[in-house]
Amino acid sequence: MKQTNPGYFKQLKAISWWEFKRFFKWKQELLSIVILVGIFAVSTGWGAIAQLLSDEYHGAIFYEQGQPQTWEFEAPKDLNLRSAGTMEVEKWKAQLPEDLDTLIVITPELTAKVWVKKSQTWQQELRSELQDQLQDLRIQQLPLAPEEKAVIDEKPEIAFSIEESEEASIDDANDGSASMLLVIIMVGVFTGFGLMMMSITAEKQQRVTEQLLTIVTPTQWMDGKIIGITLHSLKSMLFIGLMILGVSLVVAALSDKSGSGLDWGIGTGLLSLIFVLLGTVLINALLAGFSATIDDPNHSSRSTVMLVPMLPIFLSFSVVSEPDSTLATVMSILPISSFAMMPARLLQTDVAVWEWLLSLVLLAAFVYWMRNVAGRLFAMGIQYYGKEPGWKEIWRAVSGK
Amino acid sequence: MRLSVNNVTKRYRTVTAVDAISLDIQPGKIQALLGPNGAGKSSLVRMLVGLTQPDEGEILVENNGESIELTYHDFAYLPEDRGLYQDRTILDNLNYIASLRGLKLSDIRSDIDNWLERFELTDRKDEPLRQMSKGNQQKVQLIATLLHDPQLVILDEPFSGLDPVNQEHVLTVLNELRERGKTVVLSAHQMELVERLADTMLLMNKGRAVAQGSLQEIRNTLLPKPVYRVTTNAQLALDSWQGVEQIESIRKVSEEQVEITFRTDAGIDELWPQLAQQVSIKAFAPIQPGLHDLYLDTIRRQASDERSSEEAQS
Repeated sequence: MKQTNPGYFKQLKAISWWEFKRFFKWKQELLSIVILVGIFAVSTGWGAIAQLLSDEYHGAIFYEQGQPQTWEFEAPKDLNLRSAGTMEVEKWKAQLPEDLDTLIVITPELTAKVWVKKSQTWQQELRSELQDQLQDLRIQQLPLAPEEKAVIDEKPEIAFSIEESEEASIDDANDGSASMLLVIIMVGVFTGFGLMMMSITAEKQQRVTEQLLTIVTPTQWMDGKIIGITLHSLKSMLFIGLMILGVSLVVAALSDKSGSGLDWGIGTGLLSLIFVLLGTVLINALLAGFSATIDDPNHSSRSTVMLVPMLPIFLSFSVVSEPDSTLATVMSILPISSFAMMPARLLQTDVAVWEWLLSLVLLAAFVYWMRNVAGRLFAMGIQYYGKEPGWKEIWRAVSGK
Repeated sequence: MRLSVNNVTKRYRTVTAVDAISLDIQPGKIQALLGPNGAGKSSLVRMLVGLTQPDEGEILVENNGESIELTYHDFAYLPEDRGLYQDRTILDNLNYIASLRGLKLSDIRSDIDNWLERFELTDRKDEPLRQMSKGNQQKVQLIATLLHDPQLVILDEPFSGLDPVNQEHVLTVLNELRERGKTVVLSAHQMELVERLADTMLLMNKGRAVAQGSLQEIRNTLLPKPVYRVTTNAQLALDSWQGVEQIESIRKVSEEQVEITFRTDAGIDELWPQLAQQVSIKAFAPIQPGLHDLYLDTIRRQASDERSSEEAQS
């Protein structure tokens, strides 16, 4: 039989493609798209739906000293109020009738007593309206000159000036886009987390490893897995990104603004993409290495440690609104968080060339190191059947001793 | 392809899994590794395929008299654990292994079809493996192993999970490989199958070689003295033949049967008339125990010797 030598890269391609195909199922992909579109649609139109489906409440209002001539309580929109007679009030106080949800009594001191059948959220708005409107009424009744009343009614003006005022709206949009970018990265990391864990531990449990390891090296196999699962992460990120962009465009169109409100140059976009790509590879390499030390994900306490790569992203959320802070700058250079923080900063502020260059070099070096560590951990982990290597063995594999 | 294993030892922490094993496997021969679970067969096999390295000794491969480095083109390995993807179809699994080995799918399509037909799996090629019986999965694994037509074939428990019909299928395939000059190493514990198949065998226990060579050589090693079963009056025979010089021991099997162990082969034929003069003999026949019985006897004897030695020490 004719045989060709596939070489490292042909084998790598075969493994990567296999890993991608293993978890790519058209039916499930389409279903998840439909579900996500549904979630977005529901979220976007939730206000209208809530309005449409909101319940209507009925109540009665009684003024103990008669209704003031120039004042009437304006009930919240979901509450229908009618006036109550004296006799009824006493009766209602004892027990609210079936068709009423609340009874409001306005006292001569301009306070209110409210009876309700049970505590519900709409009553918060009622309480707030009562307070505001009764306070207004009290002010009206004060013996003040109209000018004095006007001063009290008028809220003081605050002049708030922003130095880069012409770019303020773009800054706001970019704040939002940076957060969205972190959300997209988080989706990619979560995708990698689930699939990598499944990919490696299932193979160990099904004992797939031995035959393949006589054909490919552990590092080669790990490389293939990392690339395959990274493709999945990128696919998820691309889809979520497109969804977010679509929603932004729709929102922008509805609010009579042109475009999505983003101000990304090609250079910034490309650089951010490189950071995100390297970061996804890094996280998947980290997850791959760690998964290789887990025998059974259902019984291993180490599964939770795999959530550690999420930490830099969560931390990035907390500093994303202050891209020029020292913490944000440091996080954008450290390779464990730079893949999330640097693109977020690039979108919001001017980052010095040396900063992103240093960050990029460190990240690339860290990816290479982590990929080697993943290979070593895998080579060590596959020798453990039905048990897990100890921390000492893991450290030995990580340090390459 | 010739495989030489020279004094190979493998230790895992406190256990010596393989202890100073040597083998010389010639091209076109089938070498069997036999032994119970934990004998060290799989540890030896893992070293042969390069998954682990020996702590001592060396493993050499020669092709046409030249020493070579083993590559994945040259050999195939069937692991004891079924290494296939349960959620993928037979065809997916075979195509994947083939692509890793650098085989062009268009070139091997007809080979895959032939193998599937031979193992009666054609109708199920698009089914995921998890829907198959253990035996059918084993057949798929074997196809994946042999698809690239390797020179050296190393099989760890190839008969595991197969019914008698499929065991015969595998026997036929292995015989064909031998006829085509391939070198085959297999580990198994189905000794009756191995007896029919292997040219040479290595019997292992606790990492050590108990016996090795052809079936006859192993018999000579494990049963060096001739043993006969004689149908006669057992009690009379015991009383009368006990002092005969050529007889090493005599054991009563039943009221009408005894088992005689002679000191040597020499002079047995001439001895029977003498013995028959003392006690009437209805029938006698040499005992040719199968590999299975020989092996069990040896293992039991070793275990008993070890216990005695431990008791003596304590």
